[in-house]
Amino acid sequence: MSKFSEIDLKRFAAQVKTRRGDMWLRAAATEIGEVSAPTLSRVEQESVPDLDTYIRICRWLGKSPEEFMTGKKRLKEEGTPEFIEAHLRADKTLSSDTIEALSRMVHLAYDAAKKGKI
Amino acid sequence: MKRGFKTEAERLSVGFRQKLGLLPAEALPARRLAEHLQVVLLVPEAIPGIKQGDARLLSRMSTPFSAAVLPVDGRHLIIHNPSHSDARQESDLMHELAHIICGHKATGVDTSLGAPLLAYDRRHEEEANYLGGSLQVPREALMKKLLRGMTRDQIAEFYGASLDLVKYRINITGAERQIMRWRRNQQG
Repeated sequence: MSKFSEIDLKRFAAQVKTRRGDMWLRAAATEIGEVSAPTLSRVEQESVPDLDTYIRICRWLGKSPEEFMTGKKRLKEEGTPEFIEAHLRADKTLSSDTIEALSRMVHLAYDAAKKGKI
Repeated sequence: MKRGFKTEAERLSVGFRQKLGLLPAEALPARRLAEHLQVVLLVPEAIPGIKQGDARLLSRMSTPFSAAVLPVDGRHLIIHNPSHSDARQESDLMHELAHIICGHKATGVDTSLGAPLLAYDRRHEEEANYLGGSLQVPREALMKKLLRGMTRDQIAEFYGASLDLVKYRINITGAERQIMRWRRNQQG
């Protein structure tokens, strides 16, 4: 499984807004394909899109997916698994705060389960 | 969905009820199925060491987070948002249990970085939607209840399901179409 870099959400959202211009959200979403107007609106508000949505929007912008990757990485704690597999059922565009809270929670739950605390 | 999946899902729904000493048409609470599968159910505030702010954020009704499945050393944990309605929680838990039953490989979440991308496997989602729905509202039982004249609201209440789920089950199983065909045949 490959590592994910952080997306520059501000720049991504700005480019989406510029590209959409005066177009209605629904019309833009239709142009992008398989993306809803509410999802597009949330992306413009700097919410993190799911991978499929992100790639479709990049295609619509005429940019490669790497264009908005910052390549920023935080230091890994010692003994922390690089990837914790978690299936998340949620709205496809969560705010950055929610995703970070989820990541921390999943990490803590994994540690506790490994130590037999849950 | 792969060929034969729907039939297998309905078989599993009845099979789990039998193992738990329930009749094929009885309601099967998600918590009971989780216990049988030895899946641990948790809410965010029960996670040791979680920050209060994080627990509160992930337990808000307005937060779109519903549930997360975490496989650890051969066990499964499901962490879910306790503020959503009972019917929605049932649906979310059954959906996640369906993923576990199907043995779907989970989506990767990189916890060493900031805001990770979430990748969804559409086929697995469709399968979990169908099986989760079937576990809650079995097809045969649904048909029988509709034939007896139960309303969709009554069926939803009986199974602790949302009205939307009952409508979904009626559509995806073709139950109403089959009943109409049967009634037409009866009328000769």
